[in-house]
Amino acid sequence: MDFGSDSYASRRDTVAFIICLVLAVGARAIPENVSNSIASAMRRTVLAPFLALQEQTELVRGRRTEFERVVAERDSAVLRANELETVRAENERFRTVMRLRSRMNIRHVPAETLHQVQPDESNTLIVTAGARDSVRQWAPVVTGAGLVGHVQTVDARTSIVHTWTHPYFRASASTRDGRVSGIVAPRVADGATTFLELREVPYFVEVASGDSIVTSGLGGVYPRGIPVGIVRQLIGEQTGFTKTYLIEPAVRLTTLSHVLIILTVGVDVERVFSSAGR
Amino acid sequence: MIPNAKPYRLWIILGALVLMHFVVRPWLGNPRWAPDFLMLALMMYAIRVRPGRAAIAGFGVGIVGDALSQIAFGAGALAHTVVGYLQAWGKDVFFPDNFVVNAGFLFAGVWVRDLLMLLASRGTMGRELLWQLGTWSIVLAATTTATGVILMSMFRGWLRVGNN
Repeated sequence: MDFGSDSYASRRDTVAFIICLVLAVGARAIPENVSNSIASAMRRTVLAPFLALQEQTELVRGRRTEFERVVAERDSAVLRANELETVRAENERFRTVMRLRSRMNIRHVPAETLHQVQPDESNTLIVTAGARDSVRQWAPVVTGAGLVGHVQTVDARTSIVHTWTHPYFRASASTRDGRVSGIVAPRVADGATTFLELREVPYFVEVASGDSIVTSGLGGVYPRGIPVGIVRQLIGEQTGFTKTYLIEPAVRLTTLSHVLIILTVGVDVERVFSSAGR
Repeated sequence: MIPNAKPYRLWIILGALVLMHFVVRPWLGNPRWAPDFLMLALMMYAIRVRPGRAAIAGFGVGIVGDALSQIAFGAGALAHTVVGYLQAWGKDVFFPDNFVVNAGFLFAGVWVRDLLMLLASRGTMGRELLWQLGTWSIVLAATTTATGVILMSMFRGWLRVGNN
């Protein structure tokens, strides 16, 4: 094979060019059925390996597209399944509230919690009930699981609730049997409030881990019997005076969607909550 | 005549381009803008051989395309023959080892091939012809040229005219 040249086209080149040109024009001029036969013969012989190669490429490409479609469908299914789980959990919470509501023989109003605009405003909640629903300041706010907090500010249609994570939150509380009492307050650790603590427990009284803590009804804000949390461990003591216990809250605020606002003051709701969980 | 030092190098690249035309090109999207590797192979070959051989190679590539598309049998052969011959003839007039000249050859080759094919097939006329030549042929020429430039940069030593 000669590569490269040092002169313009020779007569031989011109002849080759003209022959190719004539063949091409001839191919263009021949009847369609003849050209189809020639093309078909070429595809079956000379071009067969290339066509097979191309066919395999198209096959792989098609399978890849199919694979991407299946992956996309699987991702959508997973997403839907996750949504379903969220809806199911929300439904369960709503049912708990509804069960509580059906047993609540005192005046109350249901409300939805609205998403907070500020991410750091986790100490307060906006709920969709206000003065038009007879909501008043200090009204206790609960779910089927227990105490959320109290209404702090009342507008016409909405109210702002101070939750148990608020630094000023305090509630008089006792064990379910009323044997031990103290003051419940939020416990701040590492800048976050995820637990409560039961303070001012008399020094010579023991509280077992796993005991339920409910509101005692003293203080006039929270009625007696609203679950506050479960005792986890002793976390501090002033020798000879008082003890402090760590309480795991009954209500986790991150998943809160519906609440009940109790409108009647000075009632006992212990029986309501003891049957609501069932 | 320039003596051939290592002709197999060019053949490796030409073989790879033919394979890429059938294996890689289907992955590159619409054939209207996916680089034409067969055309690239033809032009790289044409710029290194005498016009007669380039015309024969052009005829071969064209007739293969005609057999595969079967829209206007012979139109591809005609267009590729002319482009192959002109490429080989042009390298004697210009500087074939110049990067810009090579890129210009590639771009012009693809566009002229499209022009000749469309005219010879007589299937596209009027505004459609103008649209095809003014838009799609330019895009195809650009992508093919870009691919050719990348290839020439990667295998500069192998593709130097007179080194094959």
